Amino acid sequence: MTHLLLFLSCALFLAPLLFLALGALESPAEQASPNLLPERPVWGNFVRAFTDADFSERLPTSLLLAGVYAALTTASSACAGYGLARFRAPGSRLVLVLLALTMMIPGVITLLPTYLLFAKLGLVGTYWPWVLWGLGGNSYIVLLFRQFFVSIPREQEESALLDGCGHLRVFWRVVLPQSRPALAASAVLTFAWAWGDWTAPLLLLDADTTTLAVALTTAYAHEPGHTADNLLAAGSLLYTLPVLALFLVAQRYLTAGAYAVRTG
Amino acid sequence: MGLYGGYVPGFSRRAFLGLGAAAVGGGALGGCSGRRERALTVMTWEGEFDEAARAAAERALGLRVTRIDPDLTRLTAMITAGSPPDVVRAAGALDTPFLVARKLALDLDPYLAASSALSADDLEPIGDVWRFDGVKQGAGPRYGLTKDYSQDAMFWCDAEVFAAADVPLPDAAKPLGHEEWLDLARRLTVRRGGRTRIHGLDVSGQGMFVQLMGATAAEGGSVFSADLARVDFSAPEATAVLGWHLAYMDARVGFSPADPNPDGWPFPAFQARRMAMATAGYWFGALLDDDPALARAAHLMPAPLFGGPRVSPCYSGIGMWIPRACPDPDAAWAFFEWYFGGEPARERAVSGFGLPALKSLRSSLPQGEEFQRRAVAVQEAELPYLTVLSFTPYARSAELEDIVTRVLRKAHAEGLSAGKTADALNTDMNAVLARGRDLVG
Amino acid sequence: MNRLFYLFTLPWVAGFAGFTAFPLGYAFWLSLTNTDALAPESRFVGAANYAEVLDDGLAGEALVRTLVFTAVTVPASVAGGLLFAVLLQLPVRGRSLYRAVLFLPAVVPPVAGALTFGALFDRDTGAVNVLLERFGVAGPGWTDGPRLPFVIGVLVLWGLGNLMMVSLAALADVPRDLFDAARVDGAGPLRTFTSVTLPLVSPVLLFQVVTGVIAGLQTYLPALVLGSAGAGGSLAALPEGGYFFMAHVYTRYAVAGRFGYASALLWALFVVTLLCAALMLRTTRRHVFTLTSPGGARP
Repeated sequence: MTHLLLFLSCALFLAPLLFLALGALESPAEQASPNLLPERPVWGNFVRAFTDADFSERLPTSLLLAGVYAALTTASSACAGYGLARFRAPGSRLVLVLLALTMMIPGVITLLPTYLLFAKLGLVGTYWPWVLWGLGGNSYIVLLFRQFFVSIPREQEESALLDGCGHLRVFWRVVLPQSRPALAASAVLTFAWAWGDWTAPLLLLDADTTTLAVALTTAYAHEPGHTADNLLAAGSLLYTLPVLALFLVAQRYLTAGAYAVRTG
Repeated sequence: MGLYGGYVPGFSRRAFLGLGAAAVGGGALGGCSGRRERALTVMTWEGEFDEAARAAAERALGLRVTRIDPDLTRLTAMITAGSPPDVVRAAGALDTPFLVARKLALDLDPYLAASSALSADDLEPIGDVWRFDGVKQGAGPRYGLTKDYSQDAMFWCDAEVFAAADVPLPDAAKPLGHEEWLDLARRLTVRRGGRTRIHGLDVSGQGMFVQLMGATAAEGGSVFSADLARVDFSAPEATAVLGWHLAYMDARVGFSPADPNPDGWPFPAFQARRMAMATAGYWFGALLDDDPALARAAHLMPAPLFGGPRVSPCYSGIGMWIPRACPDPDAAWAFFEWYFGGEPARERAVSGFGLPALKSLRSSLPQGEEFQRRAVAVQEAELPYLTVLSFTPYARSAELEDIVTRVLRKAHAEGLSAGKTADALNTDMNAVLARGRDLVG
Repeated sequence: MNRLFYLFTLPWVAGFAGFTAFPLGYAFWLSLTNTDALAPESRFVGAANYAEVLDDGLAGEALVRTLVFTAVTVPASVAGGLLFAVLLQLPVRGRSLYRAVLFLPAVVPPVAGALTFGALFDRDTGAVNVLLERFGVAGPGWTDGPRLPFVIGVLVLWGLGNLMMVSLAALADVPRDLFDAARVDGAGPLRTFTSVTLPLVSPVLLFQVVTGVIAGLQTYLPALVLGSAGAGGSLAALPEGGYFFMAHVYTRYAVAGRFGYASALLWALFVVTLLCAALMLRTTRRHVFTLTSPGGARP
């Protein structure tokens, strides 16, 4: 019963991807035609998609930016989440409110001033903005961590403190190891965001320093706005592979969760 | 309490910048961008200036050249930050008055006069879309150059689709009347169930506003008032044109605001042999190279006639302009000489992707194949009818397109008359134009 | 203790100041002007932009459409994510494969996902209508009119992998012994779910719903991509069904270039979002297990 449900769901979830894959194998003339199966699959589309979007240059850039952003955001957000979950200070309530409010702000509003900010700092065209964004953390992830830390019992931390460990050490040695599901979720989410985001690179980077996400949206155009959909489909499939790989690695930690550590 | 505050003198773009600077800690950080070697920044699409072209530009100019994708937010932010790109892509026919009214574009006349690589005499008449004297486009100083262009009201026919419907192909030497055109479209359209198998005609591919603007000129009128500050779709010419387009939508012969083209432009459907007639100017030319069967069947036709003079405008005139705030206009002009007068210009002409903007390159259009000779002959005969239409400086073309699409969709859904549709267009667009005039008038 | 709180939250607070507070202040300043950010002069117009927001019929329609869309899709995707997470907690054979497949759409680039659905649901050439026709049904136009929200809704549900992942992580956090205790008490799977699992993951669910609503109110990308092809790939002229509030903002901003007015619209959306969030937190206060003050215990 469970099997059947999962199997059908998976089939349904895979169908659009299958359609995307079939689209990736179409010849140009078939793109706007109603046939489902390409008459003769054009495997070369994947090669063209790879070269046209300059994967060999753009892929390392995307990996670097998404990796740096994911690592830094996860770290600084976990810190902030821990601070919010465990300590009270004047202003802690305000920080919590601001966190929630920050999530309600549509990103579009910040584009122009953000550019002006980085232009003033001389960081347009560099990768430093991703470092700074990462260090600043992300409100969603901070709240995610806070919720996880709140639900973890405090006994171990308290006994470690009694043993003479400092708070930073407790955080590092006792709390984080129990938080693998949250860490894994955060890593995958933040990596996928930076990986998929194209407004920021479009705003701040040049064609020869930009990310794969931007290259995908512009590289397959015959004419601007008139994209070769078969190549875009092929490129998109290639583009999803690194995030999928990360998920496959992370999913072990998602489920082999805190209780395993606690009872182990 | 008054909602509208008073005018604040000196409240300028620079003031915004100043605010930004103050918030980040004063002008102390201002010099940071000078650390790196200055590069010439070109804002255009990769398809028009790819990696190989960029490298070639660096060799030809002896400068570092970078490309960034066109993006309105990025452009606005760069201009606001006081560091605009050196060269920016735009559509001369639609953007020149807007740029001039905002004092953004550099007057290129002195550079052109002093240039040995480019001369004003060698520019095709299409170059005039980049001229604007404040009330008339095509006159006054020149603010940009055209890369390549097309007389966009011309359309392509698929002879095989015509044959399958047993409809004779129109005569390429004689423009069709608009009623006859719509009639043909009806006969060529094939529908089954909810799906359209063959579209008879598409007129929506380049945007409905320019389509209406061009057709109104062909009817002998103009959608804009003489000072370009208002639209008047209630004038008899414009209303007649609106009536035709509402009939086109009702006939469901092709894509329209009520039935948008998922591909964005007609070529994919034309290539899939699902479209009998596609309004697209010369643009299909180079794309036909890869598809011999399609090339044999594709026939370029002159722009159809409406009730007035024979005119055949250009709806975009893609090219580039140089911002007035560009720190090194000489370098930007050197890029212009190379891109518009050098090797890239010749390569574009030879590829047949659009018509060259230089007279000296006209003969370079590809004519090796039968379909190419056929298209060039029709195009040659059409050239004398090229007309530069004036666009308003008080609105972005995209905003007018937004309104026209919304209003036409509603008019179609509710069965509004052409007169009522005209009223709705006038109300919405004149509000936008009044706002623009308030800002830069 | 004070010092520790500031130490741990300092990076976020600094980021907030630089990347949120400053841009917001700037946008607020813009919203009091008539600037298009390109014209050399612009004017201080006081609250005129805000007055226009209240009078903007398109904005009102778009807001209602967005609220309805959010009210339908967010609970559906959170429930879907939880359902899959619960099923995949069970010792099913091949569950890591299932997990990967269900998560996969969440990493498909948004633009590619939207284009795929656009192609699937295309009236003339899409697989959906081609299949419908095989069964003798005349397929309607899916993406060009009032049915567009349905397509976007399916697209949003398709990408529920992220929610599933967060729910998985939350379930992993439920102490094992509680399940064992429930089983000892003779509770069936459904009973265990409602009396053990659900209360324990309720903080995370509430979190998902609140953040989901916040994100849902800002939905625009699929609508833009699915709906905008018709106008030559430009942003102009989205089909009515896809004209969400953010699409309105986006077109005011990027099509009309009305930076001042668009900023005012965004502030209006912010207020609406705030009201929605406050409403949700207030009404669920009693039912959610711990959405809580520091330390995990409610005061």
